[in-house]
Amino acid sequence: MIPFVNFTARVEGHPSDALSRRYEIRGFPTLMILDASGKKVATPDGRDIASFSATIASLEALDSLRARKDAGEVGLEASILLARLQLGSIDFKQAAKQRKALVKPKKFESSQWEADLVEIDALLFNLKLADMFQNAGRDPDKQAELGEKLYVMAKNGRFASGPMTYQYWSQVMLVAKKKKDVKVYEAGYNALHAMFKDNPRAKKVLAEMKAELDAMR
Amino acid sequence: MKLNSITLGLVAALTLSTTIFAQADDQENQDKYDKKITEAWIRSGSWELDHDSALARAESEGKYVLAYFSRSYSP
Repeated sequence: MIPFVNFTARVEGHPSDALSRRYEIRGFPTLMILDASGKKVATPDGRDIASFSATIASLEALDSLRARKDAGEVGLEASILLARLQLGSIDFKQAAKQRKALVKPKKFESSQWEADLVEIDALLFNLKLADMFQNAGRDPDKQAELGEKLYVMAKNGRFASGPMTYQYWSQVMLVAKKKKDVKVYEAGYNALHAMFKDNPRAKKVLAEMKAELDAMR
Repeated sequence: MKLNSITLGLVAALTLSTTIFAQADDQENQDKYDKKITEAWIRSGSWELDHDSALARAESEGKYVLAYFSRSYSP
């Protein structure tokens, strides 16, 4: 990796500021991995060594998949799309389009394809959720509308995973509490408890949620 | 007519003072930037400060670029 640092200077006409705008930097610090043409190819999930290592491993896996495809191997499209989703190098619109176009090659004997599709669909759902949250922004009416939509998704068994879990369930549980829906509220509490039970900073919030759940029963 | 002259004068004075303050801010921020890029971790870690140079190195060495975006105008 070539390490590159850009400091937004907030000086009229400064090239660093223009570069930050070009990459649509919204907060500091922001880390991303670029290829030699300057295109973003990955966004590490966290800022720790484990996250970086995982991102680099995923990049190497993607490079290897592409090399195999170029060498003529078939049936890798799902794996490649999955790798790009895991790296954060593809947006929802592009990914949904590519997902729709995925066709398993005839006589392709591999359970990897089906396994990849399950993971792709989960990640696509997360991307869709991220889009929905971004569109709702801070508008209270749009957030309320979003909450109702997410509540319906939760009732139909469609759940967020990974990084979208907390945002998703926070909204769903707000609506579930208003509707006195113990089942959905409990599903949210269980999901968040599983994710954050070992995080000392989450102890108070989880305890409050548990108290709320007990009061609803 | 007199009122218009006074108003125009006030507007001109405000514009001039705003420009002066903006230039002062720019200078202060430029000084902060100049100081930031000399920090020891940048030299010791061989961090590129020029985007095009980083991409050229990535191309010639067959590597990716780890891009770290931060700010110098405030902590």
